[in-house]
Amino acid sequence: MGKHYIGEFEEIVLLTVAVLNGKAYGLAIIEDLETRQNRSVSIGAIQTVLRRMEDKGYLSSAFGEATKARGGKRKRFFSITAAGYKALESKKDARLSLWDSIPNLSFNTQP
Amino acid sequence: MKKQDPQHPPRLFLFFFRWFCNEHFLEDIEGDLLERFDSDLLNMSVKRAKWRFIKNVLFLFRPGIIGFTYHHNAWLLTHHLKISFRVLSKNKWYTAVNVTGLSTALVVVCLIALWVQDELSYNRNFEHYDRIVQVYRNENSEGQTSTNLSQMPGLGTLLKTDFEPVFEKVAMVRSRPEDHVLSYDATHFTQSGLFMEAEGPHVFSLEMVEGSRNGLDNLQSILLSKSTANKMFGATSAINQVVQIDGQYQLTVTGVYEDLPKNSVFYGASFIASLEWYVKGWTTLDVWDNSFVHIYGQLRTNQSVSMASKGIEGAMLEHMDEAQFNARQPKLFLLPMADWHLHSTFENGKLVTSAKLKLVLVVGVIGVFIVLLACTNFINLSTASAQNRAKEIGLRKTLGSIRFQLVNQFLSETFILVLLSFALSLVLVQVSIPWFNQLSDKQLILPLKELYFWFASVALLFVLTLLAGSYPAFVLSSMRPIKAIKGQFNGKYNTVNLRKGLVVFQFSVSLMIIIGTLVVHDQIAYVKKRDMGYEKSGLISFQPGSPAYFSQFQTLRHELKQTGFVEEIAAANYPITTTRGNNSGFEWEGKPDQFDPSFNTIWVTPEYGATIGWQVRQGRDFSRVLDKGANNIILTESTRVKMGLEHPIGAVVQWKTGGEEARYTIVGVVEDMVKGSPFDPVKPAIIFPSLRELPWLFIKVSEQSDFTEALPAIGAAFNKVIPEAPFDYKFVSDQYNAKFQSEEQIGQLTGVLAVLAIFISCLGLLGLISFVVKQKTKEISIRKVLGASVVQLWHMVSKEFAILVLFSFVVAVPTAVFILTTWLEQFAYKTEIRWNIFAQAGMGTMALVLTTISFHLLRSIFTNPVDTLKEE
Repeated sequence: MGKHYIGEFEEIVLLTVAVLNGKAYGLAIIEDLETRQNRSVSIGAIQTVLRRMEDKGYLSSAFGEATKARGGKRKRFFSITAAGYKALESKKDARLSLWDSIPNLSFNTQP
Repeated sequence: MKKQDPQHPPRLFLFFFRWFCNEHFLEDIEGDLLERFDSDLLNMSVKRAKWRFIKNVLFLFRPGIIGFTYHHNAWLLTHHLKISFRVLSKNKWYTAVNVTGLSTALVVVCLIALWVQDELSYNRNFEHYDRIVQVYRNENSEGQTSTNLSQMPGLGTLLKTDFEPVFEKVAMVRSRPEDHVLSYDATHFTQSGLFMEAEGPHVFSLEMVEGSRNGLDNLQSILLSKSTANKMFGATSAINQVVQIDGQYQLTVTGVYEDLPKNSVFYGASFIASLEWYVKGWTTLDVWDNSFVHIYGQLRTNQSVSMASKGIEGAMLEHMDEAQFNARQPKLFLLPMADWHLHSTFENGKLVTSAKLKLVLVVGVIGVFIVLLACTNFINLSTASAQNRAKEIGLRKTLGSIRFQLVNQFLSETFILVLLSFALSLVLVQVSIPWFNQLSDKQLILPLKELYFWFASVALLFVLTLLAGSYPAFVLSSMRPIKAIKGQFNGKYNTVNLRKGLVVFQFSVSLMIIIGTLVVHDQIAYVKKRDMGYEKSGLISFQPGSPAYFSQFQTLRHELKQTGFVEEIAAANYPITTTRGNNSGFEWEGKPDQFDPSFNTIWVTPEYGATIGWQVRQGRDFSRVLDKGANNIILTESTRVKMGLEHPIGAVVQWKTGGEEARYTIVGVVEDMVKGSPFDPVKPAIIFPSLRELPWLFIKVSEQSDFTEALPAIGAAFNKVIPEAPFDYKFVSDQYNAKFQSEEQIGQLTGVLAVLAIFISCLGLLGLISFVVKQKTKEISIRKVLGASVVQLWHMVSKEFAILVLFSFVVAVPTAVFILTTWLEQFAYKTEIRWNIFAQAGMGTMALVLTTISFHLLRSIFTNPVDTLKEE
C-alpha cells in the first residue's frame, strides 16, 4: 500500500467520479452515492474529500459553463488522473489477492 | 428559473459560508449549496429545506474548506481603518459625543467590575480557603429558627477530640474582636485584637514576618500585626519583648504577622493572643454553659462540606440536658469560607440575600444599564447620520462592495471609537479610583500589570463593538444603491421610530435611577430624624480597659466635672449603640403561660439617665440614694407594652439567673431607645442599676462648650486619675451614624450612577438634536422667511422631544414604584414614597432635556435664512 493508501470513503468517491465520467461535480457525486450506495453524505464531507484527493493528485478539476441555475455559479467537474487510477487499481489488487487467499473452509465455520 | 422564487436560503448562513470559505472553492460549493436547496424545495417543506441548508453550511465549517484569504482582508482592513479615521475626524462633534459617552460607560464598567471582583475575592488570601469552614447552629427560639455563630467552647473541644476523621484542625476564636490597651515603655495603645487557640494561626495561615505560627503554644504570649509592631517598637525587633495588656498582665511577643488584607475576615486584627489565656481563671474550654466562641475547622482533604455538615449535625445532643435540647432543637452545620462574605445571612433558618450581595446586584444591574445607554447613544447617532452616509454607501455598492465589506467598514469605525474611549477611560479610572475607594470603602487598584485584565478588556471591547455597532452596520449596509444615491428613505431604512424608542428607553432608565436615588436619600433622612430616645450630641464613650479605672469611678466623676466641660458621667456594661446582652426568663403578674420574651438587659450606674439624656415617661430615674440596696429596675416603653402592664410603677418582676431568683420593683418607664439598627423596630429593654463599676464609660460634654478646648481638658483630667489607659474616646453620634453606612453607600453609588446615566442620555440627545436640526435647516429657514417666530420654531422641534420624555416618565414611574416599594419592605421603619419625588425627577429631566436641545436648536433658529437657503 504505502504511498498509494486511500481510505474506504475516498475509494468510493474516486470510483464514483470515474463512473460519472466527466459529469462528476459535487452534488452529482452526492446524488450518485445516495442512489447507488444508499449512503447519505453532506456537502461538507464530500467537498473535503474531493479537495484532499485533488491535493494528492488523484483528481483534477475544471469549471464548467455558467448557467442561470445555481444562482449563476459555475460547476466544478472532477475527473480521475492516472495517479488516481493507479491508487484504485492497487487497492483493488490488494483486495483481490486477499479474496483469493481465503480457503473455502473458513466460510463453513461460522454458524 | 428559481429567481423570482420568494424562498431564498437563510441569508445569515449564506453570509457566514461566504465569510469562512476558501475563496478558491467558494463559487462551485456555493453553487452546489444553492442547487441542493432548490431541489430540496421541490421535495419538502420550505422550513425543512432551510434547515438542511443550515446543516450543510455548518458541516462545511471544517478544516479542509475554511480558508480566510489573509492577503485580501489585510488590504481591506487598512482601507477600512483609513476611511474610519477620515470619517471620524470629519465629524468631530459626533466622534466627541460618542467617545465621551462610551468612555464614561467604560469607566463605570471598569470600577464596578473591580468592585465586584473584590467582593467575590473575599478571604482568598487564606491558604486553606477551600477547606476552612465555620460552625453554625440553627435552633428554635420564640417559634422561629435562629442561626447563631457563637458556640459553647465545649463544642469546639468535642469537635477536636471526637471528630478527628472530619477535621484536620479545629480552632476556637473569641466571638468578636475586643479592644484592649497594650502598653510598652509607658506608651499606651488601644488595639482591637483576637483571642484564638494555638491552632488558629495555622488554620488561617498567617504570614509570619518574625517568629512562627506556633507562637501561641505558650499561653503568656501574643502575636502582633506588622503595623502594630511598627507602631509599638519601631525599627527594633518585637520578638521576645514583653507587652503589658490592660495595665495588668505581661505577655511576650512571639511573632509578628503580615496585616490581614482588607477583603478578609479578621481584617483589622492588630494582635492575636491565646484563648486559653483569655478564659483562664473564670472558665475552661470544655464547658457547655456559655456561648462565647466562634469555631473554625479545617476539613480533611477527603471530606466535603455537606458530608461533614451532616456528620456533626447532632453533636450537641449528649451534652445538653434533655429538656433544653428538646425546646431548642439545635442543629449544627458548616459554612464554607467561600460563603462567609456574601452568603451568610440567614432568616428563620433559610439563607437569604445579604445586604452586601444586594448592593453588588443593584450596582451591577445599574452598571449594565449605563453601558446599554452608551450603546444606545451610538446606535442613535449612527442611524441618524445614515442619510449623510447614504451617498457613500450607494457609491460603494455600485462599485461592487459586497454587503459584508460594508458591515466590516462600519464595525471597524465602531471599533476605533470604542478603542479611543477605552484609552480615555483608563486615564479616567486612574484619576477617579482614589475617590471611588473612599466612596465604596475599598482598596481597589487597576491591575494594569495583570494579563487577565488585558484579556478581559479586549473581550469587553469586542462585545461593546458588536453591541453598539452591529445594528447600524446592518441597517446602513442594507440600503439599496439607487435609493441611497437619490436620498430616498422609507420603509425599513427609516429608523426614526427606532430612535424614538431608544430615547424613551434611555430616559426611562435615567428617570428610574434618579427616582431610586431620591427615595434612598429620603429613607435615610427619614430614619436619621427618628427619635432615638437619648441625646447623642456631645456624648462620648469608650472602654478604659484598665483595672485601675474600676475603683476610681467616683474620683473620675469628680475630676471630670471639675473641668467645667462635663455635665455628667456614667458607666454601663454595654455600649449604647448595640443591643448586646439579651435575656429571657422573666416573670410578672398577668404574664400568659408559654410566653417567654427576650429583653435587652443592661446594667448602668445611676447617673446613666442624666448622662445620655433619656426621657422618663412614668415614675422616676435611678438615684444613688433611693436605689441603694434595693432591687429596682426601669423599663422602656416597648417593654411595658410587651409585658402588658397598665400601672407599671411599683409592679414586681421576677427573674431567675444562675439558679437564684430575684424580685425587682419597677420604679420608672422611659422612652424607647434606638440602640440597634435604626431601620429596625426598637428592642424592648430592662435597665438595672448597678453600683459596681462597669466597663463602658459615657461622658456628656456640656452643650455650650467648645470641643477643641473641652476634649484636651477632659483627656488631661482622665489621665490624671487613670494614667494607664489612653483617652481613646469616640463620639456616640459617629458610632450611630456608622449604622447608616450600608444604606448611605447605596445612596451615594446610585447617586453617582444617576448623574452618569442622565449625563450619557443627554449627551446622546445632544448628538441627536444636531442631526435633526441639520435635516430641518431648510424647513426652519423657510418657515422663518414665511414669518414663523423664534418661539414657534423652538416649540415645533422641541415638542417632539418633550413628548418622548413624557412617555419615558409614564414607563419609568410604575416600574420605579414597584422596585422601590420592594426595597422599602425590608425596613420596619420606613418612609412613604413621596409623590413630589416623581414631580421633581420628571420636571428636572424635562428642564435638562429642553436646555440640551435648545443649545443646538436656537443656534440654528437664529441663523440668517439666507445663509442656509442659498446652498442650492
